[in-house]
Amino acid sequence: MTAWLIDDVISFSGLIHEDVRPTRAYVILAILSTRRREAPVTDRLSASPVQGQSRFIGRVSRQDIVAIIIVAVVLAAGAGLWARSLSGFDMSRVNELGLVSVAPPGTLAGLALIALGFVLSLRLRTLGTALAAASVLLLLVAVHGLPSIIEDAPRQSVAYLHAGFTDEIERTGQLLTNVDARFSWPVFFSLGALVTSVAGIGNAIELQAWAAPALNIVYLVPLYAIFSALSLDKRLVWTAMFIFIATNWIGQDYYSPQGFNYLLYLTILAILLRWFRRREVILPIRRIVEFVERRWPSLRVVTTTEDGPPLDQARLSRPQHAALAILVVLLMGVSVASHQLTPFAILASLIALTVLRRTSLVGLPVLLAVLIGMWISYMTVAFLQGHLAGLVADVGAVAGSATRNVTQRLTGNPGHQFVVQVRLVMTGLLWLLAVAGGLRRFRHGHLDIEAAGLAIVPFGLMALQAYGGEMLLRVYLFSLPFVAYLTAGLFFPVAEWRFSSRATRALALMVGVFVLASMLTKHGNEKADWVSSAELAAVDYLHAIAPVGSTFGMVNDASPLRYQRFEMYHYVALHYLYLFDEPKYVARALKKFENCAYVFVSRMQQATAEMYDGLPAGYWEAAKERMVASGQFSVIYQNQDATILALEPRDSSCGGVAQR
Amino acid sequence: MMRRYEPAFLLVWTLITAALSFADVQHPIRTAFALSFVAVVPGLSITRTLRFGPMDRLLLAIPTSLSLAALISAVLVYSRYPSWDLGLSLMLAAAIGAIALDLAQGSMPGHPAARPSRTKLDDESRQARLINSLAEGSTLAEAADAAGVTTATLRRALHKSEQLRMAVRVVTHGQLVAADDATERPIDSRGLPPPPIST
Repeated sequence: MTAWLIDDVISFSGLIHEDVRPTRAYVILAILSTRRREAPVTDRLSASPVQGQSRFIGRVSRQDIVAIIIVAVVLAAGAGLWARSLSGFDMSRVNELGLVSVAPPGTLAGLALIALGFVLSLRLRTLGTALAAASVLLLLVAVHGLPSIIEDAPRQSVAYLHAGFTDEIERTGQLLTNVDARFSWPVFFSLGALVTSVAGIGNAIELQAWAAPALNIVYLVPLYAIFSALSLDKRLVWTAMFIFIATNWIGQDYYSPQGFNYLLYLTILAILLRWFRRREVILPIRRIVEFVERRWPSLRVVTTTEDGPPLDQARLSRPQHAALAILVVLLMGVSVASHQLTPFAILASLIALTVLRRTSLVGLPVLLAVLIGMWISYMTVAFLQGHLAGLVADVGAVAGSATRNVTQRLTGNPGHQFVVQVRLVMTGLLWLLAVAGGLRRFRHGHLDIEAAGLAIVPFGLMALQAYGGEMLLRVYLFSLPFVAYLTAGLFFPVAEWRFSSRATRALALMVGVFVLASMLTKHGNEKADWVSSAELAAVDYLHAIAPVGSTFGMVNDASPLRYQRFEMYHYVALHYLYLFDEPKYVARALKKFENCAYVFVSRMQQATAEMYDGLPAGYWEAAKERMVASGQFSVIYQNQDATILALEPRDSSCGGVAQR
Repeated sequence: MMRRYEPAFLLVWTLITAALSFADVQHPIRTAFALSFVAVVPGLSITRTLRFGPMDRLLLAIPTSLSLAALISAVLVYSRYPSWDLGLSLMLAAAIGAIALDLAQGSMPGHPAARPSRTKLDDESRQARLINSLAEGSTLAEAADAAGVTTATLRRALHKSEQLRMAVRVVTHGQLVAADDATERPIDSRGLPPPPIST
């Protein structure tokens, strides 16, 4: 009887190969080796075998192998189609819709197949986790790595400015706090200077080339830790990761303090949720749970920590606990000194976890508030002088903030407006799905207190600042991990939930829409974000001929002009002065510093003016001709994407030869 | 295997980065080594010292390394002494110091962080022979013989592996005794923590 039982256990668990003679020892070892993988709390609503966690453990049947091969082929086909389509991108034809306007059909088909392969991987009995992880990585490369592959120079003008700050700190070690507010939060730039110097890179802009895929890969680790701390169901975890990658279109994943700080934000939350959790539920939530259980007696509500993985803090030694607490404080300190906004998002999250009694480090919010206060009071004085009144005036102005974040973004030419509208629709859809997911999980007995709390608290930042009309974007970004988790919960309301064919189709439709829309949401600004090698060549020419102290006029900020020797030149924002048929005003603005002066006009600036400010196409050539015709400017450099005009008359030290 | 040789691997990584950077080699290989060093190595070394598991170290290594580098660079800038070579030296010192501490801890007998070396009992078939032998009523010394290892190796393996300890406890119904040459003494008296098996 016992032997039969043992054989049955071996056969059922599928842990040991059939050829091996079963022995007691093997059985004991096998059972012990699986103990850790079993859910500590099985779901109370379903008597079916666990699919979520242990479904990846099992003997591989022929049917399983066929299923695995099908999923692998779908993924490989998607990756192959996508890779093959890369040669078809012609960036010179990109329009206001961004990369989708020049994307060959193979790109979209490849993305759709990757999404399909991911959804199918969730139905596998074995190797599901591996293939789901492969799908997430493929999607990450396909969406976030696309510009790095098809464009010939690092993108985004702001990254060039940040590289300029880094270059200045690397060469001089000086913080130009009176030139730009970002020098009052300089730690990211000093880190960049150290990295650039150690790596022997000429300029930090080289780090930008692969910043987006690299940052997103790095984000995946704390995201996995966060989702795994919230749920045992690996299908839910990987679905949330997939949704995160598909919907992270905010574009802060570049060489920037905020891109780096987002890693700190995620890591702090991952550490707190993984190692410093508490099981306590605050009274109002307990009352809600009791009400629901009274109203629906068949339902027993569990909170995330009760139904989630075991609290890991018990496994840690005291030195480990202390080290983690010190690391959290270090991360908070680095964040406070490197970015203006992220520390407030971390603070809001810490307050939420503390108020909900979901962390044992209850002193952290106070400590972080003190750190923020000290930094702002002592280290940002240069910035606060003259800005304090404006900063304080924004506090509490939620309506004004909302207007600047939504209504004022719906401007520009029709193509760009369409992209913004798609983003708003996708954002609304994602948030709606997250609400539905949270409600569905609650209906099935799960109360995701942490996820809901951490998804909601970033909205509090709207009351602080409009942040130049970007606050809603940042709110979206800070809440995205938890919104993605709740959205995934719509399809996996409980750990043992059967992933039906209907649910499979619905999930495939949803991730398909998000993935395909990412070509618009993520890459919809590419016409203005793309920097061509011709533009960079023009910038390098200008830096080569312009003597120190020269004045550079820029029609708008969208240019790679400031990525090196940033502090050696004067910059004059012309704000489209010369577009008003008045080259003399431009000349007057440039003569202020009584030195060599140049006007830099490039494709990127032109695209920015057309997309965001609605300037008509073709205006630029006419404007340049008017400037030259005025006799006050001459063209000293020109290629297909950039023109440099020099202010006349100029002496021989100014360099460059006027072209006819 | 990887874990055993990890300190040597990290040390070599650190030294190559130092050599390439201080010699100012202008080659992409320097960039690759330096970027990966600054982003990963100090964090990996420090978290190894603190005995975190592989997945935990994966989570902690990059933020720890980058935060350390950020802290060092900020101190250099604010102290108005922006010597990036000094910054690199401090990073190297942190990494090498952590590796040295890790090695020192590992070689200290009785230290909670001491790691017994890999034993032959990592082989599953030997474990099976051991447990079958114990289930038939053998002493630990006899079971070690059956598994083809020495008693000392067996003791190290039991110290190292909670899973093996639990398995032994299960087959001996919690009445495990160790046959140490002529004297039989309870295994717990030899410094092993009581097995946390639940009923």
